[in-house]
Amino acid sequence: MSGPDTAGIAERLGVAADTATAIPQLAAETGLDVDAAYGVQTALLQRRLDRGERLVGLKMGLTSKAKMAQVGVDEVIWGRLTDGMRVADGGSVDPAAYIHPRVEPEVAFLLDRLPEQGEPVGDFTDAVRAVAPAIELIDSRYANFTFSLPDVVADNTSAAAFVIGPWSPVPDGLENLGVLLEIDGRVAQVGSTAAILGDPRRALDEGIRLAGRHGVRLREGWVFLAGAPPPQSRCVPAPMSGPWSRSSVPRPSGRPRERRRVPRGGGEGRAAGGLPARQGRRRPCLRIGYVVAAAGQHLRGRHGGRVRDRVLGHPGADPGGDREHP
Amino acid sequence: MIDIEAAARELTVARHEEKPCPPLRGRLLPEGDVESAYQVQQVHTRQRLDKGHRRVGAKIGLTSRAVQESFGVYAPDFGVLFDDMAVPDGVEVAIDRLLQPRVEAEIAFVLGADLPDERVTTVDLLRAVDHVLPAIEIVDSRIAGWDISIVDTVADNASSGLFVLGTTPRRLADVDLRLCGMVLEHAGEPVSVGAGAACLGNPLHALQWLAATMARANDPLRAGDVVLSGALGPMVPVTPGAAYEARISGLGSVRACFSKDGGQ
Repeated sequence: MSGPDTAGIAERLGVAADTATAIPQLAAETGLDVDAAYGVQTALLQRRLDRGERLVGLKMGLTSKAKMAQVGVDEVIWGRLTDGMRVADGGSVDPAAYIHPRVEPEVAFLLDRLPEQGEPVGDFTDAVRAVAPAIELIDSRYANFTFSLPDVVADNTSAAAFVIGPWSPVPDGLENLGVLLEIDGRVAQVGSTAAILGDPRRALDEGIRLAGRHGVRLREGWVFLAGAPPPQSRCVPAPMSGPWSRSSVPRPSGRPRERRRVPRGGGEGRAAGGLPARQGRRRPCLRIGYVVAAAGQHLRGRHGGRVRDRVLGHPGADPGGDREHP
Repeated sequence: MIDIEAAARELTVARHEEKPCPPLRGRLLPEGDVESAYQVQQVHTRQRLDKGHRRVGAKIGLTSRAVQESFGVYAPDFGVLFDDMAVPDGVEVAIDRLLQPRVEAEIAFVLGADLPDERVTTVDLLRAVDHVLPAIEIVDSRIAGWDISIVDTVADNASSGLFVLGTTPRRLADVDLRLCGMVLEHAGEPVSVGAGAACLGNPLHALQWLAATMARANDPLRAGDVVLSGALGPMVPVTPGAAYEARISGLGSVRACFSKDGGQ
């Protein structure tokens, strides 16, 4: 029997990522199922390893019912993180290097010793050394960010880049910490870590179990992105597409946002189809401070403030960007 | 078209006959005439006070940007809380007390001092708040199908129904009102999640708005008043027979339970 062409599919996805060019979905056409899709993901990882990147962690996807419903699938998925995908906290990313990037607030775990083979997954705190707020930049290689479950698994669960804020010891109340994603200093999404499987620790159990099925053992020192709490109903799931462009326009000082009567998503942000053109037009405006304050008093208290992850922005076009780093 | 009395009467009838009425806007109240809508609300308030009910505080609504944008209204609104709207934590509510209830998790401010000045500052608020409690507001609408605009909800006492307060008072110094996580669960499943910041960026902003608004109206907030901040996450339609538990990090938890059917 001949299965789907794993190497060929991985190559198409890899090239799509390298050239920031969307491709059509391919699972249906190639008969790819979820198991085989993880094989594609492994081949895709190998492409990165061949370039000298290192595997540094795992990410979970679709860890909330809302997210599952949003993409029309019904199970938790996982993908791989390499050092080449990591962006320094406060660093810059060129959006032109991606197809249709989106950012999501995440809870990151720094993994400690993990259960040996056959050892039960016991107390989570044994396996997690530290917790950090993080931002994941996702970028489906499929046109319109639409995909089936095998498609998204093969595409390394849309992983593109990630930023880790300062690590803290595991705080009390990790299962219900407020999560705020701010764009240009304005709150764009509000959620709680409770949305991640009821408790982000469960994502680790799932990760150990599901990755184990495919022979992948999590390791000490790895980063583990537990998932993104879904935003509130209105809040844009995709701050970097559509409405994002409007959010990125610096607000004239002193103009209260309550007076903005343009209905969200009804303005120019939605009309424009191609990101590159819009980026060009808005280049001077790409001064975006993506800030995740993942959470509550413990994380904040120990670090004396929020984490400012300036993921995006063109160096040199950011006169105010260093205010938080005196 | 403005008919304050008729609008108030329809709402009263809807309450008493447990049958929602059609929207008031465009019929008895002009679209966007918030001032008249508050006059309708005041008719209801006077009726309740005349019947001997006690005013125990206020609720703030329209505190989420999502809701404000859907209403095209970029300010909060408020309604009046009466003693008989308070339900003890976890005590079953007869579902037939309500027309089309929904629940949302909020922060309740309990004042220890009056807030008489319309030029109220954050410091005034911090000094005046005695403690905070987790709360579930059981909102309800006398307007059929929740087909409401700003004037409909304001006239209808800000779509208030009942409210449940937790019983673990916390000082403001001990909580982070902006970053506290909120999860509202039904049968162990989260049905609404959010955080303090979902309420105007910080629930204190909502309190500040209300304090200034009430002081300006010569009816300032008083020591002992309960103020419901506005929702920390999306509201959820109530299922008869269901129990909802809200947990707000740092504040504790509170439960709203509903009977399966009426006749209690």
